[in-house]
Amino acid sequence: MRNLHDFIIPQRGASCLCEIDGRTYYSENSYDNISAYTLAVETHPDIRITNDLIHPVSSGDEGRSLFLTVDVPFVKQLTQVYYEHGLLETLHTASTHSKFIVSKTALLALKVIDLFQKAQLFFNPNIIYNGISTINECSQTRNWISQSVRCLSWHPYSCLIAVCSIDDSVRIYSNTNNANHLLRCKQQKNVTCLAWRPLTNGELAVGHEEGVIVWSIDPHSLVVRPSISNAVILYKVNHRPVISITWNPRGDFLVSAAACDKSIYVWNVELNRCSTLKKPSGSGNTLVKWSPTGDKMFTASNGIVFRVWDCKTWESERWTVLSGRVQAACWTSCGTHLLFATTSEPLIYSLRIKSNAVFTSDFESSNDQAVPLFDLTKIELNGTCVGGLVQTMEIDPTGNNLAVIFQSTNAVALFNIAKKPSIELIASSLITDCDEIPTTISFQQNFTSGACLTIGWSNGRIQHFPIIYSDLSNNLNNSNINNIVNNTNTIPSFN
Amino acid sequence: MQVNQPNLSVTFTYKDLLFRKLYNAIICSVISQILILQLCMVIIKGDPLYPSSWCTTIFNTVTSFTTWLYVIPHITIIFAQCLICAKDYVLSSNFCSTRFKKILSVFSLHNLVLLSLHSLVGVLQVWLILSLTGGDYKGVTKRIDETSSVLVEETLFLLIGGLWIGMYFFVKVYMSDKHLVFPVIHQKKLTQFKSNVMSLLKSSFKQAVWPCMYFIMFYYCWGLEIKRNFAYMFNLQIQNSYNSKVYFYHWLFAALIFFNLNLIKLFFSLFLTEPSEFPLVKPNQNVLTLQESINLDKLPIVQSLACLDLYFLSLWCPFRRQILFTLSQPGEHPHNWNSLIEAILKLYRSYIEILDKSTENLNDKSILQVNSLIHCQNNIPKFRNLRNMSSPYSTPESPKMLDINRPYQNTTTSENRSENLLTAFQNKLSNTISILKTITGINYIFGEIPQASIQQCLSNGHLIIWSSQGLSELICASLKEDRYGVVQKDLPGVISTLVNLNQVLDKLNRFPALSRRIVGSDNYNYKMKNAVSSSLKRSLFHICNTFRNYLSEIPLSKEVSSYLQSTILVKN
Repeated sequence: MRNLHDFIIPQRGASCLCEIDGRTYYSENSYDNISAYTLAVETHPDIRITNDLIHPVSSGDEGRSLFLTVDVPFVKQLTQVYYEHGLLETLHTASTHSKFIVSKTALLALKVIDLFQKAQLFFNPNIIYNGISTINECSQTRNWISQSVRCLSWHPYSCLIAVCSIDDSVRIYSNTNNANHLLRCKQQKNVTCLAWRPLTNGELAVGHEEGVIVWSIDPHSLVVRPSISNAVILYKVNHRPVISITWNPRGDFLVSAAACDKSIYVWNVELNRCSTLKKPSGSGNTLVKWSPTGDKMFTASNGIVFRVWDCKTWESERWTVLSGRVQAACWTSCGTHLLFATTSEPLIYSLRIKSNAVFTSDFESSNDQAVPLFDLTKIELNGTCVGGLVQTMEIDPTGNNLAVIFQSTNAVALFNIAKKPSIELIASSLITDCDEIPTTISFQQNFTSGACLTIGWSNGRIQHFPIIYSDLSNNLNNSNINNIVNNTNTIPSFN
Repeated sequence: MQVNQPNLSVTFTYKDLLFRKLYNAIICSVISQILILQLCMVIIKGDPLYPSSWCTTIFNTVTSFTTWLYVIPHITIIFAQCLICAKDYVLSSNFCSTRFKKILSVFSLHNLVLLSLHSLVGVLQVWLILSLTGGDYKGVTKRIDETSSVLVEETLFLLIGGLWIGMYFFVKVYMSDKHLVFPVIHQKKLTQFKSNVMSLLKSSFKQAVWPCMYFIMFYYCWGLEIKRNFAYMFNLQIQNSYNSKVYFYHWLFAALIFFNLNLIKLFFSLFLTEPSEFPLVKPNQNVLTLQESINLDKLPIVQSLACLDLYFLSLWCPFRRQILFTLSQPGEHPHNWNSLIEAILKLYRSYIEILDKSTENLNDKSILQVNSLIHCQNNIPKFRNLRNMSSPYSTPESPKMLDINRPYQNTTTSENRSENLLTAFQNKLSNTISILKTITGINYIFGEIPQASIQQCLSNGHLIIWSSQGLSELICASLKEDRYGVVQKDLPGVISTLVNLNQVLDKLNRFPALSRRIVGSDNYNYKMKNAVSSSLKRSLFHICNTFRNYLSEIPLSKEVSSYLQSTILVKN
């Protein structure tokens, strides 16, 4: 099996700029600029999430300190508490009242609520939710809790990129417009994922702690701060925290998975209706990915089980990993293979997906095992650590490149994917940016000269890393690959 | 090339299709009722401390002749109820444009029969369980000695309660919502049933709370009267030993009745919304093709299933797509495709027509307002020689334009003056009558409900959603699969119609109820309008994106292409 020794590490302090025809270019000093090598990303938005951009988190209590406390009648006080903090807090306040009957009634009500919650927990243990630590654990973003860039997503047809920062505001940058749209509302808290709706001009689904908000944006409108009335809010009781969302390639359905909910919901967004996908596996789900061809969908639970759904009949194939859970996964562009990595082994596996086409090749018969493709065991190259467990991975729309972020090391590994005769990963380049940590990645969807990987770094910089083929007809999958040695072993641990 | 469709049934009529579905739904409903009844008895009679005796009781109850003797009338009524309900689910509901017609339609014989059947089901269910399980509430009367009997008030309460719940369900749930809801994704029926049944049980318990309250209040006020009259009629004595546990039982019975009736509804929607495959080729008169079904207005369910089938075939069936793209032998005409596109465009045109008619009044008003504004401006003498170019409504032929070369001449004669007076009087009279109508409420009852036809249209919005998406998918697939180019000739027509439909839907935004979300209401119409509009836009986008490089070669009118450029296509 191939391993990370195939990579060449850039010199310390050098940052990677681009890859042109298989050769990586670095900047040794600050004068070096990407425009010296290529103009493909010249008009791309230059983004840096600085502290000035980040809105301070407000709890809504700032105004309170300006006012003196006054004695108000008890009923009025209760009404105020009810409007500001809800029923539970009202009961707590009422229980401190001097009148015996009032306090006792409130205490009784509190006890009943407590008992009811306990009974609910007994019947449905998966509703225990530990707040944002769960999100941090399951998220595709590295150090989700503290990084200034939380997620990135490129528009499928134009040069628009949505960036979510730590203050949960989503900004949309474009190559033509200087005014960036800002999507922000009270309900949008702890954003975990973004997904543009296919076959539309500007509809963005934002997955957050309590549900999903689907914003409609006119990228060329002068209104840069659309109101929540332009959005559809999708919410289900106990469906939280929403950790992964995906659209089907026709843009009809949105699928949402929550880390503490067994059910996966398939939404019809406009009608605000949903169907449930429910199969026994784990106590929640961490990842959903629709295949680019639209006929399969991958879902990973927070246990050892993951499933591949057939989107015509909505029946699923059940797969298990030996230990841990699936941390990252992505489909190849043709939808025939699924690449994934788990939380327990530093390996990338490939899984050939059965297709229901009538005249398929005889590949199908040996289809019950996942094949380890690349060993990512942590190694040291020129004093720099690379590899380890995978945080997230992405494949570009042409299906030629795979980018991987690791959980504990700071280089982004870039692989070429060769599909003939069987799927192979070939080490391409390692992208580093001094000592910065990569937090999230996304490939541009409409990049014509090859592929463009966008990386969010821990210092708030968003880097566009173009991978350019000067002769597009002669890329890796169309040429004969002579130097690939087929040395993969099947591991019988998957069933 | 001749492609023969596999398993081409010799006869395939809507009767076959619906009969199979309804038959299954009714059988499942009846069987489920028996099972629920048995289950209830098992639970009520159960004694967990003595499992062996429990088992024998279960066995005795299930196999005893009396049980089945009691069950048969209940099952017969359920069967009759299902049969009559089936008509509601399958046939199109009458379109009522005025409130008066709506009220009249409520008091139809059909509804009356259903109401009595529903209430009968309610009473029977309570009576069956009470009498089969035995105990204190076995009968309405209890014999105390040889000659006299005493009224068991609790049983009476529960039975009347059952009657009320049956009626309540019919009026509140059944009448208000006869729509079959198609699921978002079409899973297996058993999976759907499993995922729905628990939530149905929970919601039934919740739904039953309010009607129980109403009934308890009613009984509190009028109970004594009922009790006395009943006792008097049957010459019974009255005992004053009313047990308040009975309220709880009433709630349980109400929940059970709600659950049973909801379950029947669930079975209907499960079976009727299951996708069916329609034939695409018509070998003889007895075959109902997909193309014909799309325009089958009188059976909306068949229409919906046909559109759904079109959507599925466009996504998943390359073989069936190929049937549409082939030419007939002999003759080499794309009959299959032609009939399909004709059917879909007919559906869209009828939609456009209805929506156009509904928004017409609105347009007139706005145009009049604009024109009056223009005239005000034109009266300013300084700019009299300038034609107003900003008005989209003032064409050169417009009679409202002032010809400045021929100054306005006063040609009013005495004849004209009298005519003017007459028209003014007529106007005044009609105004007074309309005000009177509004004040007395005649307009409210007999006048046309605003947007009634729009609502009727939007309630069938899913037809447009599925057919437009299916059509766009077919057209996009044709780029690679259509070797004879049968789709190409219809491309301009399809794009123009989709754009037209979208523009008509955009006009609906002028209605306040359809342009924004109203907090607290379900606003189905608002959501459906958005869903239809969004799916049309996506379909157009899909077509334009796939035919990106050839778009300039498609002959489209200026208006349509500018709409595509401004709203649909991505500007880079």
